[in-house]
Amino acid sequence: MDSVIRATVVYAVLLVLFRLAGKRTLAEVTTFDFVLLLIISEATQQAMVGSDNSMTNSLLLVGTLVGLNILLSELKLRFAGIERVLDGMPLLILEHGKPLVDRMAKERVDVDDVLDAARESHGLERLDQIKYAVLERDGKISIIPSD
Amino acid sequence: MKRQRNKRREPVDFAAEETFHRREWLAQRIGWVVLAGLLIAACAGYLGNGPLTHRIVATENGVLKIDRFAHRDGPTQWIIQTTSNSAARSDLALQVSSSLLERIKIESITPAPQDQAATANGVLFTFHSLDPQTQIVFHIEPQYVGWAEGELQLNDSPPATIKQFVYP
Repeated sequence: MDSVIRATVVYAVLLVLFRLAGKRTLAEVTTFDFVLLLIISEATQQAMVGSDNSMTNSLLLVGTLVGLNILLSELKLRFAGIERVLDGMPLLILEHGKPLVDRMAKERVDVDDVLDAARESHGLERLDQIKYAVLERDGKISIIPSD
Repeated sequence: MKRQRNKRREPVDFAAEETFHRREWLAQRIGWVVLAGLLIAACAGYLGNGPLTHRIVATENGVLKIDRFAHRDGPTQWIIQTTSNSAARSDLALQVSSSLLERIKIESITPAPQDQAATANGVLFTFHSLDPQTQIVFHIEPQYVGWAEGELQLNDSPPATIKQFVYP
């Protein structure tokens, strides 16, 4: 039971912390974000395993995490509200070449991030070539070019 | 609730979801304040090691230094500083109550006791020929979450009550 509780608590706390961190943290856009996620995985490993390094404990932990993932997937499918709370929603951050500054500040996104995404996805050079820029749930920025 | 598949067929109505985002941002800011509070409490020692963690209990034969907060399976220490007005070496008997011993694992004791004996109340550790002002360190690991409460008694001093909260 201890293993199941540890895995569940760590999973839940990480879920909350990553929602608090905002969408961009999950996008791994910078080396810092990538290193952060690596270190978090190392830090939580010991919290879940504890002093029990047996195969049984490891398999219990994996099973618990997979089970939680399946449970949440099912809940998200059945209840739209749960999906919104857990995953968030896409956010429009630029419209017809004009950045929505307030929203970008709240999500800690700047114009350079939008231009990076525009160049990578569509080879665009300027903001006025962008019809919409959307900050997706996974932290990536998707670009809809102007006609 | 009926299972919904492919429920988002129409484009996202960004304007209509402004309310959700404003609530999300508010929840995030509240969460940041709570997180900052926890980190400050941790630095102060309320979640483990820190300046406010240490508790000192004075007895006739010595001073006990114990952490108020510890972590399950995490290392912590009991430090017993003997006090003696005499310059001569002396013996020390330290009794640890069973209510404490049940909740901890003693990793090591420095210096090692010459004798350990079970008593009605717990275990009696005997140290021979200690210099005045000797420091005895119990390196322990709490095994259970919650309050660990018990008594430590040096020689014939009144027992000192020890209370320590163990975080998961």
